[in-house]
Amino acid sequence: MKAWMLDTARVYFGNAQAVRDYRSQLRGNRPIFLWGTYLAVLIILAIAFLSQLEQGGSGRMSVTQLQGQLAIFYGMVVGMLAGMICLIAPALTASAITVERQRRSLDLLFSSPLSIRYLLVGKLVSSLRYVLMLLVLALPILAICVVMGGATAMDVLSVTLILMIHAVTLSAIGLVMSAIHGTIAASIIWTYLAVGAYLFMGAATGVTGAGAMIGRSGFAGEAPWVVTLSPFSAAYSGATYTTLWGVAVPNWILLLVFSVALTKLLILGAGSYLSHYGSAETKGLRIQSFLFVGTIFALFTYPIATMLRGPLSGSSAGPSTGPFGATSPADIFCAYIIAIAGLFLIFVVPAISCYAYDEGRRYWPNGFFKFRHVLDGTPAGAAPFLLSMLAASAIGGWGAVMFSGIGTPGLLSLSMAAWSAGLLMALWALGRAASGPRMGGLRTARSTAIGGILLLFFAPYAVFAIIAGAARDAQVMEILMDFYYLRPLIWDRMWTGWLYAIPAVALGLWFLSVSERKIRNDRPRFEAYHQPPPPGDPV
Amino acid sequence: MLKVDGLRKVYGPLVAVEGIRFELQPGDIFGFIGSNGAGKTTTIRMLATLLEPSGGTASLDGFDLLTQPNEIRRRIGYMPDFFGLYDDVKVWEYLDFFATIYRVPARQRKEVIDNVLELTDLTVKRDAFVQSLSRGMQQRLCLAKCLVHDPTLLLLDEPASGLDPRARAELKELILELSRMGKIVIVSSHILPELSDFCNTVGIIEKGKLLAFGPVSQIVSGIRQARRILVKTLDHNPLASQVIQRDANVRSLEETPGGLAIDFVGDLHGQANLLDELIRQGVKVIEFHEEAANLQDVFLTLTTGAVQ
Repeated sequence: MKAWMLDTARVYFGNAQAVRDYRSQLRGNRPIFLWGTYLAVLIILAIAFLSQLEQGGSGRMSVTQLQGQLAIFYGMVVGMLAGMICLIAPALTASAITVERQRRSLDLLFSSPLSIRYLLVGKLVSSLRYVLMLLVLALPILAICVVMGGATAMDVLSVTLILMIHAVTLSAIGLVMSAIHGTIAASIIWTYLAVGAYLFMGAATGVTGAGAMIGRSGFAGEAPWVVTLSPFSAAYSGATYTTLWGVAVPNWILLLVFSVALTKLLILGAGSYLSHYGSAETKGLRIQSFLFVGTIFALFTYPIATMLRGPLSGSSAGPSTGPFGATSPADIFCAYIIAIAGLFLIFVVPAISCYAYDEGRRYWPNGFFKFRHVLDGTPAGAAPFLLSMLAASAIGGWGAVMFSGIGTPGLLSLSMAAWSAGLLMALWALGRAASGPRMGGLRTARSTAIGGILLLFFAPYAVFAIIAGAARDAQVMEILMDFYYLRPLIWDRMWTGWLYAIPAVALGLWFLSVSERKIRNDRPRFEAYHQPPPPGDPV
Repeated sequence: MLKVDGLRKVYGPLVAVEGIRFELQPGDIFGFIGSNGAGKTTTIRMLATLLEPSGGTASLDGFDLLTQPNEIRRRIGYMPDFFGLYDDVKVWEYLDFFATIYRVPARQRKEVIDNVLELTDLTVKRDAFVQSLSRGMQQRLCLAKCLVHDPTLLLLDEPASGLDPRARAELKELILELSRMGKIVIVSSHILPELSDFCNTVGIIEKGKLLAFGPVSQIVSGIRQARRILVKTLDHNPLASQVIQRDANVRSLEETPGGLAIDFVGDLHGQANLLDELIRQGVKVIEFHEEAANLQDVFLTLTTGAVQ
């Protein structure tokens, strides 16, 4: 324990990688010029706004109006800072590992006792120091709003914290992309695509959360924590809180929990990508995935469940079309949670189910379903890992639903659990069927798997639409859609979820038979991979 | 002590390194010889813990490569064929960075950096930026980086490539100094003369197989059926040829511009007797010695030039 603490302290404080990067960042006149320009822009903006305020008001503005105008100014500055963080934070890490790889200095680092965690945290810390400097430089401008009105000191503090928390997550996204991609261009493009997706998700959930509060009585700063998920709404979400066990918990604390969990997963993911077979990083990623995915699902589910508490408690009606009789809306909610978990997990299927020859002996076919490989990142542990992750998501989500007091998961949820598991197993088997020594490398196998997944998802709908179009009968489409795997996502068909799992498992078994046949045919080549060296000494 | 035991690396159907075995003691300078693509770099990268072996293992000072890679990393200094230098830092900052990650205590770092700079003759460049150094200096800086943690084993992959003759000579001196300090040095190269000069042990690798291992002289004698003795006389006396051909240990005699070259199957006593007979017969011998081991000949004899 003491050794772990010392090692952790070394990683976060006085990290040589961060010191080296920061020395480079601060070298010469460039940072002074950049920061000077940045500060000048902020000052010019503030002066322009305040002078316009003076001219527009002509001294006749009421205090309330002035406060409103200053609040707008505060929101504008915070929005600008959010935009700057979204652009700069990921940019600082987007090429961090790619540049090391291209410079071929990674070999020097990995042949030393330096841990991958040390390297990645060092990169993250050096990036965050730079972002923190930009936020600190903006404090005098934000202080205008505190002195003149529009925001309180606590507002400024909470906003700075929220922006810093977002900077951590965005930097971690850049770090993962730089670990995965070999060229700077690819790394930067994928980083901004991922950042875009993250911001979109944050904005969508934030708007949903904020929208749910409209019209609710007694709203005085209490809001679902997801409103903090968008850095652009930091000026308005900074002072909000969530009531847990009767205690008002500032939402930035919940954002911090979410961000720490997500950042930890992202860093472990990057570390796992850079490490060898069976590495501590991969094991850490797998173990913490269960924990953090459960936490993240609980964090997302709880505020939504809380918002639904009013409407659901007043409603006893539910779909009674299934064989399970009347189903509570809470059960539908839980069923959706497990369905969403299943759909999210599809993103990791190609990454963990495919196998091929590879340098690190990490993705070769070491069996098809072995629980003992659930943590080492090999294909044999892929299916157990997917099912365990589904269970962790369900535990987190369902636990939060029950904690919120709106109800409990029932048979409908179990039906959708079967649906999700069936879907994941079919796609996992597809990933294995797309692999094989004669199929090419790992990249080919994964690309084939992704293509197959997209085909399975979109081709049936297109075919049904064509058939229904030719038949000119809407009823035909309705009937055909019953053969579409995503059909149970429509709430009144959720009870049929378990029925859909049967063909999914059958399809999966067929994919598996293809995969296992390929492995059998190529067994000599795979066995050659690990045969002992020939005996004998050199001359 | 370094013990390499059946190290093997396979990339799909390609066997890059096939069961390499050898042992090295402190102070040994091991020249790893092979054509491009023979498996030298792959072997060195496995020893540097950068590649996981497909089979076999190695141990350094009793620590196993597969099960204790961090212990191995603390004891090796790896210099790749590219330098991988950070060009936006100063020389001392570069060394300070590596001293920190090798966990050299903070209070000792300055002294260690000064020492390795002195050893590599870079003291005057302490505050220079890395990108301002010449290639030879960058190469010495990379070697200095390998020394900050006082490793037991140095893995130098093609250290002399791209260096001018003076820089090569300086490198050679530096490696000999490191050997005197008791370090095991593995140097890979395909430039044979530079290795035969200072390596006390060599290994010849082709298509991933270690074809020969041992001291240069031992390898040469293992390849040659007979010793090659060079004799030079003052007056080119034809009697010398007659005396030599009469000796039972002489397999063949060849006249070369420098004198006579003899393929001799006898031992050292036989050589002494032949010299004695030449002098007794009045031949004025001014040179009589066994030809120095020629690594290039051995290499060409053993290898076919095939790559994988």
